[in-house]
Amino acid sequence: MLDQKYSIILRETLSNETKTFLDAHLNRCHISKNEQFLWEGDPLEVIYWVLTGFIKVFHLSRDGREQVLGIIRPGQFFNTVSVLQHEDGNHAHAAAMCDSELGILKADDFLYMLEHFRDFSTLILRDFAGKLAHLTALVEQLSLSTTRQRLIRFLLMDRRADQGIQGWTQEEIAAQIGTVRDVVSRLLGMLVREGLIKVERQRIILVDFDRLQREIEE
Amino acid sequence: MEWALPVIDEKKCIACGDCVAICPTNALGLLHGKLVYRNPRNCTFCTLCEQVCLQKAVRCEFVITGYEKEG
Repeated sequence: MLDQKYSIILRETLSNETKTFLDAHLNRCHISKNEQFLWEGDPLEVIYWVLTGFIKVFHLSRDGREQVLGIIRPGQFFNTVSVLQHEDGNHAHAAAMCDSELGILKADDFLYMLEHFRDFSTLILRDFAGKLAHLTALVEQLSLSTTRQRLIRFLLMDRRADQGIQGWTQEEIAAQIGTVRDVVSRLLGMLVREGLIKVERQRIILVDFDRLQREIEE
Repeated sequence: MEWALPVIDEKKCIACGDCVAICPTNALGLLHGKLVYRNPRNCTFCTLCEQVCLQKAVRCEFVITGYEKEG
């Protein structure tokens, strides 16, 4: 029964017809934390709907450096761009940042739904709109903010945001803000010396919220 | 408070010993061809093991938190 399997879908205002189709065609799988399940360039077969957990979508450079394209949260879709652009292979790699549950829809079924279920198409459009807004903000930050400001903004936002992601490595933080790990390490050291944060083993503690907030508003 | 340690992915670890060699506090060791924590309480979470691992088998995860300014 769809009701029991995919509670996140119920939150969406989808018609019974749409939910019935999803019940018949949407498969579910569990991905363990740090498990990679999608490889860039592999044959494109399915799209994914995040039911629970967080998924990291990323490119890898030739020297192994990771470029995080985005963190996909519950209710969001990914691998849809490749399908809509009629590409042969997956657009990027994907790995789970924590234990996650994914809904999987075959590419053909996804295209069929877009054509025949208007409420589903609206859902996908909203998903794209959210991603576009995020990327626009990111471009603005990269253009107008220093790396230090981007790091502070990241720390402040992560502190406020959903704590479903358990932790970040320095490399992942660097990938999120568009820099390299060494820079993150140096900047964290600077922020500690200035009394803005403390680092106690695996905890980055934001000490002076006011000063941190003022700095990103400059 | 739980003593946080770097997370070792046994599927990726090839027991090359680079992290053991670079660990400044002898927290890590190799036992029967497997990476283990020899002296976990020595670990200072310096993240050198993560930096040196070519297999990306070691993760030093930071949790971002906060508390109100004192005074």
